[in-house]
Amino acid sequence: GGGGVGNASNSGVTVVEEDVGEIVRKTTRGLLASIQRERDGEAVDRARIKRLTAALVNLGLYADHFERAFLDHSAAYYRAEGTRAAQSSDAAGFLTHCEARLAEEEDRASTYLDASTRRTLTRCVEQNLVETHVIGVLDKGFDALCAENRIEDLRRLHALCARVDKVDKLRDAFAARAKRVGAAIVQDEENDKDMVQNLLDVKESLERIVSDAFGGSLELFSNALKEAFESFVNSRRNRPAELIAKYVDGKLRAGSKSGYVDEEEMERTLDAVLTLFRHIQGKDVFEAFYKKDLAKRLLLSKSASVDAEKSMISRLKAECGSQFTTKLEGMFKDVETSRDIMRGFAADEKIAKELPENVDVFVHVLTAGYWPTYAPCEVKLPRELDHLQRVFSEYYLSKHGGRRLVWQNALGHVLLRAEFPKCGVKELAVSLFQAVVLMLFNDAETMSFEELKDATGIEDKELRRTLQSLACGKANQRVLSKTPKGKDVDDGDVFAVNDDFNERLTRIKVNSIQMKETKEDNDATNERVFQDRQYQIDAAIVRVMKTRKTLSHQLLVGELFNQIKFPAKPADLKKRIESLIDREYLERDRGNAQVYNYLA
Amino acid sequence: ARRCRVSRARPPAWAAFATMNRLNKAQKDKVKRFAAVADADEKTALAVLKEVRWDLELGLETYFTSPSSHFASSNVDAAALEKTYGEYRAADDTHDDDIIDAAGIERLCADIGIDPVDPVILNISSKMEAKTMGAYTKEEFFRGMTRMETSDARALKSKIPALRAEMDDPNIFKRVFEYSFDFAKEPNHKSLPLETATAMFKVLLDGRWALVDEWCAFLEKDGSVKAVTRDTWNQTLEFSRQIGEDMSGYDPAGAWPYLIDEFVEHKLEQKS
Repeated sequence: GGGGVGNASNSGVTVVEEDVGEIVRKTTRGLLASIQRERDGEAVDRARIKRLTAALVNLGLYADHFERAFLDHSAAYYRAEGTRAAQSSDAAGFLTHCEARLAEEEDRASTYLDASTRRTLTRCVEQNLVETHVIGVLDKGFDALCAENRIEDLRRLHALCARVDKVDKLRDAFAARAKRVGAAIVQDEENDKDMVQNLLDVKESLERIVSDAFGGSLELFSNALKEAFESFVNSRRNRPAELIAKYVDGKLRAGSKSGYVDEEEMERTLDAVLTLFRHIQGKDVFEAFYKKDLAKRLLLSKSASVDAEKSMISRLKAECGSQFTTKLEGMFKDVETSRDIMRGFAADEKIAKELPENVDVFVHVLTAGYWPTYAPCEVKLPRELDHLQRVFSEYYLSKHGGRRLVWQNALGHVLLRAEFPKCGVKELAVSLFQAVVLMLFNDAETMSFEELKDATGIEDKELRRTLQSLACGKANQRVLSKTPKGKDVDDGDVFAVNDDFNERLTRIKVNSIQMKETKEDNDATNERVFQDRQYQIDAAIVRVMKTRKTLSHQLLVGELFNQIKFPAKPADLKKRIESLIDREYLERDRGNAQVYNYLA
Repeated sequence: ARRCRVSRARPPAWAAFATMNRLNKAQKDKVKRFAAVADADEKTALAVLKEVRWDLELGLETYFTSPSSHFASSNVDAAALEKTYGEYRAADDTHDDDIIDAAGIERLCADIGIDPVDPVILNISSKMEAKTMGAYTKEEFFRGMTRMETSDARALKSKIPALRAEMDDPNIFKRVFEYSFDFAKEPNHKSLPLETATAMFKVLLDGRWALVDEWCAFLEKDGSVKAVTRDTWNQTLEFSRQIGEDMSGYDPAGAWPYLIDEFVEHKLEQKS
């Protein structure tokens, strides 16, 4: 102010304008200071701030003089705060902080700012506080939040990402985590026996995160999870498929530790397992192991629940088509048909005359194509058992001429009545081989390993395993004694009935070795799948070449990938092509080594 | 060009020359190619091609499947051949068939001044169409010597430089190379045992392929390769001709045998 008196009205206006300008600036500075104080946690006079901003609006000075400065000020404030908070808080803390600030600014805008500022203010906080630092959270804190199942924090993270259009980055971080965690489980070879359960657990927790925390973008995250499954389940050849089959066997088998509890839980478990199975690329491995285990369950009557078995089959059918399950269904049918056959057999009077009275026999007749292939096992049956087999064979073949019966003695089991000096009469549930060995002691006090080998005709390794289960196992199963004592069966060992055998139970199960799986069994199954795949590739090559007559290598490989249903590497295909060249099904074209000709 | 008047009284050499002159360029070409691939002299080539009406493929097929004596030139003295054969054949009681056995072949090699593992012996054996290493039947011996136009060791010895030089022709070398597979393997087997294969690779490709020793070492390396198939054998030659030492230009998605794929991978790993 000040100046001459001269032109009173002009200088008055200037003075007023200058003064007003200065007042507005002072007011704005004051307001910003108050707001900052409030942001910093002090209490301020909100009503007064409201009056001032309202006045500015009325004077038409709000937008240019206040709002612009306010937004710049807020931006700077939150930029600084963002950096501080990101450094000093953990991820969860930072997210909570952001959420709180956003709510606070909402409230601020509606309480004492003009309505027009609201959106821009929110945007300002999002950009400066959230957007800059949320990626940092994804990089450093996201994994821990998932690992600890911090649903609330994850929900918050999702909401914030949505505000700043970073949901894609969240998706990527989630997918990466799922893949990492899943692959770690799958590739941990030392903990194979827990792999499936661990995968199911991880799957459940990841699914919960998707539904509870990322529900706003459900489809996006569900798909990301599916992709992750696909990648980690197949990150190791063959083994996951095998383990899933074994896991299901554990559930469907009676008497196993992790076995059948009730129908509802069984259904849930099977559902969960199926979703893992869905992503397996080499489903033929699963089938081979599943079939093998199913066979054991059916033949040794070890199914916990027929309904559960059938339920699993229909799930597999729905998943893979009926071709996948025809053989499995055939196995069930064989078991039922065998029951019918045995009814007829038992009722037949002629047969009844030929059978000894004190022996019951049940024969499972297996249609070869449906069941797993069993290696033929040599054994010299005792007279009584041989007779039973002969009688049945004659009966069956008289009803079904033109068929051929092959006895699978390795699968047979016997309930043998035995009398022990100390505990009297017991029933021993044993495998056929074990029975063959035991029955020899009806006629001999002691037998050496070599004598047993000679008398039974059982193959060396198998005989040792059998004797081990009878003479070297737990005390309550040790029906034979071995001299010298010890865990292994060596040449020269001598066996006798264990006179000290003293068990309370009437029926003693010694045949658990039949349910157990040896490493050789496992390897044999894997080998069979491998062989099968080779045949399939060969057949596909011949099929394609027969039709096309002449084809370049690239096109042939392309065709094969269309036809083959299991994972195969180009190198595998090449090896089969070379094998077929060697066997003269194909030749390389003389003019162009990259082209093959079919040789009729 | 002056027209030659051909009269019946001309000696055979003249007739051949004159006849050759009456051929057009394509036909002359075919004669030359036939002679190179079939390893026959031009007179024989001409005779065959005329019989098959200048179908080169057919001519080659016929020539290789028919008894070669059909087309043999008459430049070689049968009696002299008989005598030479007698000098090297196995004693009557040592073998079932009438053959020159390994001992005899060794003596022959010594007499013609070559090492028994000299690659030129493979060229010679291929001309004989000898079925298997270590024995020449009388028919095979006669066939080969006739083709080479020699009737005794001395003549054969003087032919050695030419027989060697011939192997520098890529077509002829390829024929000898592919022939060597059958020659070296057991008659009733399909593949060549690894040990024999690597020995043969070295005999044939030493000095012609810088990587032959590396290739053999690679095959022997992990013990999983027990034999070499015909296809891998044949494609090894192609590989040695088409791909340089740095493996550039190699297409692993191509139709190369899988062992060669692995070799290339091994070489590239070495590089890095």
